[in-house]
Amino acid sequence: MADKPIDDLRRKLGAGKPLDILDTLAPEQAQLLSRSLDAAMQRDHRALDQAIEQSLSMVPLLLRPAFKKVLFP
Amino acid sequence: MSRLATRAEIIKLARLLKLEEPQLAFLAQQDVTQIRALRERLSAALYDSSRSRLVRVAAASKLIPVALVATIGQKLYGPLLCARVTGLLAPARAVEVALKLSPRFLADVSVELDPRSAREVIALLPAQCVVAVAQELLTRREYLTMARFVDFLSDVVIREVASTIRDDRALLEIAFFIESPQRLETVIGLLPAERLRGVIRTAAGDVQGLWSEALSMMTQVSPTLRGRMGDLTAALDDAQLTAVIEAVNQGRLWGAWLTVLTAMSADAQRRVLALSAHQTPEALSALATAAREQGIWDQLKPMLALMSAAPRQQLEDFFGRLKSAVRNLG
Repeated sequence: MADKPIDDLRRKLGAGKPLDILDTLAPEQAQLLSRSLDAAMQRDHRALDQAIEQSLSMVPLLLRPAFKKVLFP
Repeated sequence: MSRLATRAEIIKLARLLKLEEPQLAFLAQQDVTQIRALRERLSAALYDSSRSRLVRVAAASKLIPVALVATIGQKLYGPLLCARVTGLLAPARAVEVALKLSPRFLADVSVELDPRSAREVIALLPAQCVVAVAQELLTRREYLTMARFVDFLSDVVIREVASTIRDDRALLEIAFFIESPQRLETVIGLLPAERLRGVIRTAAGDVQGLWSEALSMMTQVSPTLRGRMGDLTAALDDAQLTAVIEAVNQGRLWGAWLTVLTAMSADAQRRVLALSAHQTPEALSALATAAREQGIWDQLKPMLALMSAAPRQQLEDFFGRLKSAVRNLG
């Protein structure tokens, strides 16, 4: 149970070279990193979705179908 | 050295996760390479989480003219998303887009960009464009951002940018954040001797602890360049040199200072060791401890001959006591 935040963080970081530092973190420290990563991802996704949506309005009508097809396959 | 480099890494990680530096204080005792590896993995995870959408955006941008891509980028996407898409565009097209954007917006993008993801784009940017963006970053004191690009810019461009940075303090702060010791060596090597002297003088005279940045810079370069910078330090006047020793003492930077001291010329070492601030029991004890911790007592030994009798004896006594304490522990 105590290692759950560390395992969560390890999972979010994905495959790759083992990160020894993770084993030295206290659960609350791993949790801080994990939650901050989640928050940053959510910020990115929200901003990206909004920008994609709005960008359609600026594309000339003639190009819009092709543009839409690439963005929303 | 590693204590200072660790702090630089913590600052970078805090920025990536939008945290305050003190929130990551628990990493202060960690190895710097481990913190860097952690930051790189977090950055990759962040980037990968929106990669599929970003790839689609990059593909869609091929369908519209460059000017429109620039307008949409600046007005709708904003710096964060433009930074994420940059590395997914064909480098030549990304440069075309960049040249249609204002230095101010490109500076915003630079703050968010992971330069490794766009190394080809950065390498293709004309020097004039890089200098304009650097000027913008400089006015914002975005030293960390500027340092992150050093690894990816040519020496010619770096020299041009460095020649436009008039503020020695800014130059030092940028150097503090440069990750690759080889690149740091090159950048310092590009500075004219008088400029380097000015940087060291500025650091020595700074009351806000800039000396730790200077020391960090010195410990990461080759012994030859370190010796040159150490000699420039030793050439400071008594008051400035005393301030340096006090800063070393206050910041508990004796390990780093010893690395610089051992790289200095004999004349420079003699001058530093003769300084009264360097002969206090506190300073001598810290020096002996640092020599012991770094296992370089043998390098310190030749310097004993440059010291006057009393402090030399004190230093030897301190070291002898440390050695016997360690033996007793064992």
